[in-house]
Amino acid sequence: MKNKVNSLGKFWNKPNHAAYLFMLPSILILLIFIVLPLVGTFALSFTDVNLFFTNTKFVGLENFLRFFQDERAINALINTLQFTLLETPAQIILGITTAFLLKRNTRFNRLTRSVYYMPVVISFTVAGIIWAMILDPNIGAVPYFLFKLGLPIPQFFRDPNMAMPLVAALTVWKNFGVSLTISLTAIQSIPDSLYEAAEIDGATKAQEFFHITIPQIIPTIGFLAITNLIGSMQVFDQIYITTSGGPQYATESAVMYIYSRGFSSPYELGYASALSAVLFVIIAIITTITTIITFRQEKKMS
Amino acid sequence: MKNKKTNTFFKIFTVLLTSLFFITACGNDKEDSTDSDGSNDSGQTELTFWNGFTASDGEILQEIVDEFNQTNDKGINIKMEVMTWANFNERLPTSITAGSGPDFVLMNNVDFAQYVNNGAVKPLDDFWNYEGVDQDNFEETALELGEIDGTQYFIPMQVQGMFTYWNKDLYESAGLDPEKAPETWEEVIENAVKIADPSTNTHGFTINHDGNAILYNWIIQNGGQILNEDETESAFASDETLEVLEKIQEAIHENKSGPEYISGAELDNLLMSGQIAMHINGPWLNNGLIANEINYGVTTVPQVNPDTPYAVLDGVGFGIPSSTDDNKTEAIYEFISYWNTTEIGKKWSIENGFPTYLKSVKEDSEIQDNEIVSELTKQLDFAEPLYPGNIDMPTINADIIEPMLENLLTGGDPEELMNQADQEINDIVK
Repeated sequence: MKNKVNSLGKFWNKPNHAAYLFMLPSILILLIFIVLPLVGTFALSFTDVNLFFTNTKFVGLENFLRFFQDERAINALINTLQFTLLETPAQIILGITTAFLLKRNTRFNRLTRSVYYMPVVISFTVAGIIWAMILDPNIGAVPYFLFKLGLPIPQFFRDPNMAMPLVAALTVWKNFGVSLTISLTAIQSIPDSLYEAAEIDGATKAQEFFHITIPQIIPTIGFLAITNLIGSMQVFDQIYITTSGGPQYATESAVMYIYSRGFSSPYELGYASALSAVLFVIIAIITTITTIITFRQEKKMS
Repeated sequence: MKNKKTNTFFKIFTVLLTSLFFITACGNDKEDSTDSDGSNDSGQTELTFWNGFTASDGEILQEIVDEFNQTNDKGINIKMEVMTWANFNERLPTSITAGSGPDFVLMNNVDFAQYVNNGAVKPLDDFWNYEGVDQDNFEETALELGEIDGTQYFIPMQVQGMFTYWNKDLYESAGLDPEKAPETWEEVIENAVKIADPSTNTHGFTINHDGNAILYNWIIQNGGQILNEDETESAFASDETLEVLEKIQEAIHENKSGPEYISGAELDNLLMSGQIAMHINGPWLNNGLIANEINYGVTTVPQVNPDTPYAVLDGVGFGIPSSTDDNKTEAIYEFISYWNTTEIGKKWSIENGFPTYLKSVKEDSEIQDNEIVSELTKQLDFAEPLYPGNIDMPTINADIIEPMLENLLTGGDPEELMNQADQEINDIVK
C-alpha cells in the first residue's frame, strides 16, 4: 500500500505530470461551467422542454426547422451582425489610434488613459441607464439643450434608425478603454530604433503609424478582433436596459431573443437552446475565419 | 508503451473524479435545520417569501411583514426577498423544479396561469377553512382572479385596474375645468389635443407601446373581444376593434396628442414631471405623484359609455409553490389571513393609495373619507378579470398586441395590423 502511495507521489512529482495538476483547477472550472452546460444546451435543443421541466418530449430537429421560418429570429441575427459590424471595427480603430497618440508616458497621457478606462469599470446596466436618461427625448439633458437652442429633438433610442448605431456607440464609449490598454502595451514594446530610423528617412507621423505601428501589432489586433467579435455577437445588457429590443424589434439581438423565448412566458427552453446552439455555431465559424486571417497576416509579417 | 499511456490517463482521470467529488461534497455542506413539523429546535418557523414589489409599496409591505414577525404568537419568521418581476419570473420556475424555491410568493394573475398549468403551485382551497378566515368578506371578482377551473390557486393580496390621472394645473392653463374628471375616451382625446403644445414640450395624452391593458379596456367597452367565448379562437378582428384602433391612431399619430413611441415607465416619468396632462396606469402612481407635489386627480379608466361601465381587473395574490413542504402551509396561511384582516387591508389601501377588495375595509369610515381610495374602489363594482387562467395571454400581450400597438402608433395601417394580429393570435390559441 505504502509503495503504491509512494509511486503515485513520484508520478505527480515529474514536471510533465505536475503540469496537469496546475492546470486542474482551470480545467475543472471549464468543465463544470462551460463544457457541461454547453453539452446540456445541445441536448435540450432536441426537446420541447419548458422552464418548469414538465411534459418534456424529444422532438428531433423541429426546433431547428422552426428557426429557419422564424422571421423574428432571423431579424435578431441580422441585428446582431449589424451591431458587430458597427461596434467591433469602431472600437479597435479608436483603441489603437488613441493608444498611438498616448503612447508616451507623460503625466497628461497617463491621466487621459485613466479617464478613458473609467467607463470600463462601471457595469453596462449603469452605463445604459445613464445614457438612456441623458438622451430621453422628454426629460433628458441633451434634448433639453437642443430644445433651448431651438433645434429639433431627435427621438434617440426611440428612433428605429438611430437606436442600433446609438447602442453601438454606447458600447464603444464604454469598452474602448480595454482595446486602448491592450494595444498600448503592444505599441510600447515596439523598439524605438524603428521610429528613429523612420524619422531620419523623413517619415511623417501617419507613415510611421501605418508602416511601423500597425504591422508590428498585428497579433494584438487579431486578439482584439476575436475577443470583440465574440463579445459583440453576445450583446445583451446594454440593449436590455436602453431599448429592450425595440422600437419594432430594430435592436433585438440574438441573445435578447433567446432570453425572451426561454425566460419569459411561455418559457420555451428547448427552442431557446436550439437558438443558442445556432448562435454558437455562427460565432464559432466567425471566430475560426478571423483566426485564420490573423494567422496568415502574422506569417506574412514575419 | 501503450500500457503506460493508458495508465497516465487513468491517473489523471482519478484526480479529476476525486476533485469533482470534493466539490460536490462542499455543496452539500448546508445543513437542514428544520424538523418534520416545519419548525426548528427553538420552535420557530422560518418562511422565505419572494415578490416583485421593488418600489415604495415594497417598503410598506416590508413594514407589515416585520410587524407580523414581531407580533405573531406562533413563532413564525418571514424573510422577504424582493426582485423585479422579470427577474422573479425567470428564477421562480427553475427554483421550484430544483426544489429550492421560496415557501410562498406574490404573483400577478396573468403570469400565474402558466404556473398552475405546469403544476408548479398548490391549490389553496382549504385556506377558507383556516381559523379566522371569512370568505364572504372578499369581493367575488377578486376571488375570480385566482380561481382556475373552480379551484382557488391564489389568495388576493391587492387588486388593481387602470385609472386615469389628470394634471389639474395643465388643465387649467389650457382653459379647461380642472375639477371635471375626464369620463369618456372622446373627452380624453378632445382635451389632449387642446392641451398638447410642442413649443413648451407639453403633451396631452398617449398610449404607451406596452399598454395592452389600456387597449383591452377600450376594445371590450366598445363591444370588441380578444378571444372568443371558450377562448379557442381569436375574436380580435372586428369592426369594434378597428374603430378603436383608428381613433387611437388619429389622436396620437395624426393629431399629435402625445409622444408616439414611449414605454409605460417613461410615461410615468412624464406625469411625475408635470409634462403630460392625462395618463392611464395602475393605482401605484398615487404615492409618487403626492411626493412630487403634482396637483392631480384620479378617476376610473375612461369609458365608451359611462352608463354601462366596464374595466379589466388585475391583481396580485399569494401562491404556494409545489416545492414547499406541506407542514409549512399553516404558517403561510397565518400570514395570508393576517394580511386579509381589516386593519392591514386598511393600512395597505391608505398608505399605498390602492383600491380594496375586502368588504369590511370598504365599509370603514376612514376609507370612505379617503378621496383617492374610495374613488379607486368604485371600479370594483363593474371590473372583471380578463380570461382568468388563460396561459396564452402573456404571450399574446408581449409578442402580438404590444408590437401591433407600436406599429399602430407610428402610422401602420390599422386594418392590416388588426388582421395580422388576429391571425397570429389564432396561431397561438388554436
